[in-house]
Amino acid sequence: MQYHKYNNLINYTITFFALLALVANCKAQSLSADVIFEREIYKPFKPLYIGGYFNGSFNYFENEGENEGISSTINYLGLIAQINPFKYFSIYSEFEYNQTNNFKINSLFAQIGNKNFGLRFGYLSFPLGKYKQYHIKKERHFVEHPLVVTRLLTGISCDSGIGIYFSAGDANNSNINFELNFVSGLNEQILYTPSANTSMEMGTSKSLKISDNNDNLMVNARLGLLQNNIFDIGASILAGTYTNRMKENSSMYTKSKKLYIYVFDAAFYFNKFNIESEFAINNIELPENITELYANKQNGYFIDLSYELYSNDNFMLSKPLKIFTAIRYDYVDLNNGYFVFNKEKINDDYKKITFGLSANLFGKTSVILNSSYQWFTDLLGNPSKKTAGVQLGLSSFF
Amino acid sequence: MLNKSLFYLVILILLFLGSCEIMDTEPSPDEILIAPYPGLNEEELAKHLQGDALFNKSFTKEEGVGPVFIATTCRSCHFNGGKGHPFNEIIRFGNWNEDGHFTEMLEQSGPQLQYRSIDGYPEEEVPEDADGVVHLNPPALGGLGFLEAIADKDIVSWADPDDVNNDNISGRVPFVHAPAYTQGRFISETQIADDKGEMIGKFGKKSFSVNLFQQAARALNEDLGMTTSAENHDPFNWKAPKELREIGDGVPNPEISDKLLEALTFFLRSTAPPPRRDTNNPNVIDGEKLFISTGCVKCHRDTFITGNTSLAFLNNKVIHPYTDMLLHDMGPGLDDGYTEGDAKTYEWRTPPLWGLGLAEESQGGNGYYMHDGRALTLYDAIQAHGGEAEIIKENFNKLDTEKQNKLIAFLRSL
Repeated sequence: MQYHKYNNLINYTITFFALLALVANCKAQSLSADVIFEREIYKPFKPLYIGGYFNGSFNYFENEGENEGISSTINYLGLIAQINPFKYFSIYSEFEYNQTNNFKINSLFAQIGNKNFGLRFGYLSFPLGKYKQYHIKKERHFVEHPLVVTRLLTGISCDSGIGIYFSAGDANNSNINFELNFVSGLNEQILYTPSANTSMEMGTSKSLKISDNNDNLMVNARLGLLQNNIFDIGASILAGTYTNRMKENSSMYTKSKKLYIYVFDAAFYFNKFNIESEFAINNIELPENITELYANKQNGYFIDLSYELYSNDNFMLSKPLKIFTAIRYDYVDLNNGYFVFNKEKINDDYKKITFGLSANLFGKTSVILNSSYQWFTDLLGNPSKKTAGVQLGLSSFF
Repeated sequence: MLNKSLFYLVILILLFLGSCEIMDTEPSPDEILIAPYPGLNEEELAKHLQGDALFNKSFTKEEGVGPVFIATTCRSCHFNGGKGHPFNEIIRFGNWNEDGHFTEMLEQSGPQLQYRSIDGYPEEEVPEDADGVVHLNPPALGGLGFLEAIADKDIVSWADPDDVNNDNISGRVPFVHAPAYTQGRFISETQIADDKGEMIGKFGKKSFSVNLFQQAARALNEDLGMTTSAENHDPFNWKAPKELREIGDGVPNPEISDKLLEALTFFLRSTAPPPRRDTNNPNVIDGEKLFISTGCVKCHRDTFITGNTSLAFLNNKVIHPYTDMLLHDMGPGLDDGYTEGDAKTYEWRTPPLWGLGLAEESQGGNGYYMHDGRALTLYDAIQAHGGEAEIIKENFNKLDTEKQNKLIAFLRSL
């Protein structure tokens, strides 16, 4: 069994947040909906709203049958704060600790407008699929984010920029919504990555600077159509230039290169049965001689199916309990192409299936049991490397 | 309602229980092409793992990859530690002078072609006047330290350059120039040198490298464009603009420390020899007898006992690499007009056959055999043999199909 040196601290933290979630969720009546992402957060005094989220888990994985031991991890821990000093002006911030980036700013932007139309500027949580922007949920069935989000897209990263949003129709029934953002976008670090794969997330700026792509902003947009409790579908794009044409004080000339990321998301709700999915396509302009190593085309999708097994509206302290069963299938092709040599398909893909059993307590805390199986096939298509695991997680939104 | 929920719950529990099945998938030792040698002590294992991490690391442009390169990680030429795939083939070239001497075309970025490049730097092409061009498939890595540990005198004793025993096999010892940086990097207690001070080349398809330290430093440099104190100049494209050549990859040399180079070398030295499989299979047993009776074993020598080295775990071990570590004339069919070191254009070092049966599992399910991957099956590989091996091939071809299949079954068990 392998123990991380901070294992005790992590265990205590998970326990602490479990108790905090219990207390916080029991006082749910003091919560109010924030105006931006409709996340229910506390309103300690006008005009401040605060809240947070937590996801921790105990994990047991076997890689190619080799026991990796039991570990406990804080997958992410976030703090949300929103100030609404004026009726049509809000400042929203979201800070997150996670295992990959440690501490990072997820959002820090100002919004001028109402629920139907407005302007946002700052460090934006821009939509690239719906999951990225709405990853904090009341009901979670899986400990981990989908592979298509973490391996193919930009994770849940945010970017400096400015944008408008527009929503028409009845938010409680059916509406059409649209966001258009100009963001600093991705840089050339998407290439030559430590993982030897083209990685969008590696190309996100580490700082809050406006742009390093010859000052060319990338365009991001999402058009969504929502029919409450029936479906929610959308299409997103991130497009623009990701390389510098010429480096400062250097004679190394680089042609401007473009990338286009398309994401289609769809969710359908059938009484107790829900479907949620996203499909993503990355097209990255690359020098031809490296496309076999670094993909110029990638695609992937996930599909979540969940079913409500049990529901009790007055489980404890007049709070509800819901029990769900769920299945997620992930597919990510990190290199969608063919070898020049023999025209055979380049593999480099992940397939993963996750089974979930989750108990949603008090409306906003989920205790999750996941069992997952992952197959990774390398570039050449050699026998897949298998990883299997069980995770017991706690996810709370308080 | 309750029954329906119970039904879904039961299905879910069954799926959870199913996890036990997939988790019990640890490959058996005879399925693993590359693994640390079981005899390593704790300190050696730690060093092996450090080298393993470097082997699997993908170097970035900021760390010094390029400016021209073939791959950014050792792993992508040796998937699972096995033989390479033609998509990452190595192309080497040179030019024959009018006086019959071969030059490596160093000023024209020879002798190796780096056909990939960092962004903004042009990739290389084979010069038009190169008239000796060879395509090489990267080799498997299991057991390399044990090959290095074979005593020089044992290699010399097997040589028969003048074919004194009249068996038409005349393997000769490759003596090559050993760069200064290889001194002090040998593990064997004694090395044999010829009258010019040249030493036995043990690695590379033309036996160009005298030890694994040289082989690792060369591979990092020529394949990845990573410099070390041993190979301290980045590969370049002679056709690139002068200002680009001066900048190179923009990273000061050496880009890899001596400590990491030594760890990578130790990793190569401490991999276990590939395991045998199906040794009790009657076809395999018969196939081994045919391997000997047809004469394959004359070059693909089955057994060595390693000598004394500075690494105790390599010493005095009985190994079955199926190579004699000598150069052989393989005939005009395998003559690519390219040479290096002491080898003639038609001469090749006998490649070790251990690990052959697992080769396809590192090549995407397809077999790419011989030095350039030209043979897609073991039968085709045997048919590609010529020169000294011509008579052995004829012996194989005289066998009926059943016996040929048994011999191939034996090869697959290696």
